[in-house]
Amino acid sequence: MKSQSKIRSNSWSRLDNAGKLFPSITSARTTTFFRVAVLFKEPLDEDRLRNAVALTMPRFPAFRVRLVRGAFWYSLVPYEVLPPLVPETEYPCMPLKKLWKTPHLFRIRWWNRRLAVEFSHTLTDGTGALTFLTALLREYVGVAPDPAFADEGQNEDAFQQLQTPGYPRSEAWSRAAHLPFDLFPVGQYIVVTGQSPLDPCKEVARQYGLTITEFMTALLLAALQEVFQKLVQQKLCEVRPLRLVIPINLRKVFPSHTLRNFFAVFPVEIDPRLGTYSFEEICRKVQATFQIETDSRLIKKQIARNLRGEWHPLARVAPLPLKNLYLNRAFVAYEKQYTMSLSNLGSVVLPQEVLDQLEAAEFVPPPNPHTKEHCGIVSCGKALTITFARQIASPLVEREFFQHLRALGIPVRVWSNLPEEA
Amino acid sequence: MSYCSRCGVEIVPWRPFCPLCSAPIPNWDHAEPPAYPHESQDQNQTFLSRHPRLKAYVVLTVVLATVVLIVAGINQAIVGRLTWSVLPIVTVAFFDLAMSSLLLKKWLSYSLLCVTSMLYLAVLNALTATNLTYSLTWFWPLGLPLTVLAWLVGTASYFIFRRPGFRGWDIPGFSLLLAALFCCGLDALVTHLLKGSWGLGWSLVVSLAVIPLALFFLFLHFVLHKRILWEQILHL
Repeated sequence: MKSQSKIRSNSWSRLDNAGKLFPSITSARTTTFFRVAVLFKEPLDEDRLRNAVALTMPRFPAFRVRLVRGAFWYSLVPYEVLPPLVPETEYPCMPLKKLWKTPHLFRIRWWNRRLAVEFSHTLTDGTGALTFLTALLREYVGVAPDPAFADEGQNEDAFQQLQTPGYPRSEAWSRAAHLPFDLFPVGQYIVVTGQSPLDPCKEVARQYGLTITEFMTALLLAALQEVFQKLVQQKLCEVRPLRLVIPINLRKVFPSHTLRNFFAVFPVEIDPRLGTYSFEEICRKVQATFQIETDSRLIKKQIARNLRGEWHPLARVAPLPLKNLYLNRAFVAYEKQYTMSLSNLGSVVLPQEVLDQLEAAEFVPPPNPHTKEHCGIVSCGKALTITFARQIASPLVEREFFQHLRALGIPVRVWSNLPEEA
Repeated sequence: MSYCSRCGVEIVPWRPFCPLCSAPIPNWDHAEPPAYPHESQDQNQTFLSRHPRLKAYVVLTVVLATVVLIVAGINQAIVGRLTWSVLPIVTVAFFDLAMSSLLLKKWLSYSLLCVTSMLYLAVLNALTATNLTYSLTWFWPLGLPLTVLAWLVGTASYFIFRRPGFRGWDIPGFSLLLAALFCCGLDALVTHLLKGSWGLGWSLVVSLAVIPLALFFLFLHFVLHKRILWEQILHL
C-alpha cells in the first residue's frame, strides 16, 4: 500500500481558474465527473488495454496528479501510480469518495465493447479528456502517437494569460426555466444516447444555414419550447426564458496546449413570454447569437469576471471551508440562470485504421441536480452521437428532440442505461 | 432492426422497451448483450451516502457517552448516588437516539424523531412525577398532544413545500398559516391544562394578525403571480 502513495510533495501546481470551483461544489449529486467513451465493434481485450494505459500515461504529466487540500485553496500534487481499470457500472459519472480522498481524478472504465474515461472537471475539460482517450485508443490499436501532440504546456493555467486589468465584467443573466420533476435517489444517472449519420445532419443543417452545433442548439431549444409549453399548461412550472449554455473550447480562440480546463460558456435563449417561436425563427436567433457571443472580446469579459473573483484579496485570504460555503451558494445561484447545457466536443480525430474498429463515441455530461438534464454531442467517423443525461425520470426532452430529428428526415438509433423493466 | 412505432427511432436489439416512450419493442433480441451492465445496487453509492453519516454518528455517540460518564461520576462522587444527573443523562440518551435517524431514509427518520420525542417527554414526565417533591403529570394532557401537533404541522409543511410547481410567495404564506395553527393548538392545550376548560387567548390575537398577511402572500402567489384572468372569469 505504501508504494501506491508515492507522492512527490515538493512539486505542486495550482488549480486552473475554472478547476478551483469544482472541488468545492462536489457532492454525491454534483459529482463533476463527465465521460468520453467509444464503442468498439469487437469486445475489448483487458491485457491489451492495460498495456495501452501503461504506455499512454507517461505522456500525460498533467493527469498524473491528485488533489490535496490547503488552508486557502486546493492544489494538485504529482501522483505516479497508474490509474486502475475499473469495471463499467450501471450508472456513469458517479464519484467514489470525496475528491481529495480519491487518488485519481479520473478513471478508465471498460465493459464488453465500451471503453470510457471519466474525468473530474477539477482536472480537465472535454477537450483534455478527448485528447487522452484518442492517445489511449492509438496505443490500444497499435498506431503511432499523434505527432502534433505537445508534451509542454499541459499544466498551464491558460486563463491567466487572458487577464487584462480594468477589463469590464460580463453581467449575470436572469433566472431561467427549470424542469420541475423530482430527482432520482442519489447514485442514479440515466443516459439516453441517439446516434445519427453525420452527413444527413450536416446536409439538413446547411439547408438552414447552420453549423452542426447551431443546428443541434436550435433543435434542443425547439424541443424545450414544446416541453415547457405542456408543463406550463399543466401548471407545473412558470413561464421563464429557456436558456441553453454552450461551452466553447478556448484553445481554438486563444492558442494553447493546455490540458487543464480552458473553456468558457455563452447563453443562447428564447423567451416564451414573448410568444411561440417557429423552428426557422429559432434557427435565425441561434445563428445570430453564435455570431455575436463567440467574439473573443466578449469571451474575455466573462473570463475577466471569473479571474477577478479568484484574485480578489478577500477571496484569497478566506479559509478554504469558508470558500467552499460561498462557492456552493454562488454555484447554485449560477445554475438557476440556465435551463440546460449543450456541449459539442466535435469529432474524434483518429487515423482510419482506428476509426474502422469503432462503432460510435459517447459524451456524457456531468450530473447536475439543479438543471437536472444535460446534452452532450460528439462525432466519430460518419456517426454523430447525441447523449441526454438526467437525474429525473421524465424522458420528455429527449423524446421531443429525437422526434424533431426524425421529422426532419434524419434516422436515429437509440440506446440507454435504463433498467429493462422501465 | 427494431423500431419504435410511436417515436420512429431505431432501437438497439437488446432493449425490450423504447427508452423514449416506454412502448414495447416487438422484435428485441434476448441474446444480444445490453449497452450497460445492470446491477441491482451500485455499491459505491451505498458507501458514499451512508458511510460518512455512520462515521459522524459513531463519533457523536462516543462524545455523548463520555459526557454522560463524566456527569454520572461527578454526581456519584458528591452525593453517593445518582440524583440530579438522571435528567441530563436521559436527555443525552434520547438526543443520541434521535440522531440515529441520520442513518435512515427521510420518512423513517422523521417518524423516528416523532416517536423519540414522545418517548422522551413520557420518560421526563415519569421522572419528574416520582423523583421530585411535587408531582406534575403533564405528559398526557400537554406533552403528547403537543408532539403530535408539531408532527402534523411538520408533515403538512413537508407535503405542501414538496409538491411540484414553482415556489415563491406561497412559502411565507403557508408558513404563517401553519405557525398560526400551531399557536392555536398550543394555546388551547395550555389553557386546558391550567384552567381545565378549552379556550383560546393570545393565539387568537396572533392568528388575527398573521392570517391576513398569509392570505395576502397566497393571493400574490396564486392569483397575481400566475396571472389568472379575472376579466375572463368574471366578465358580464
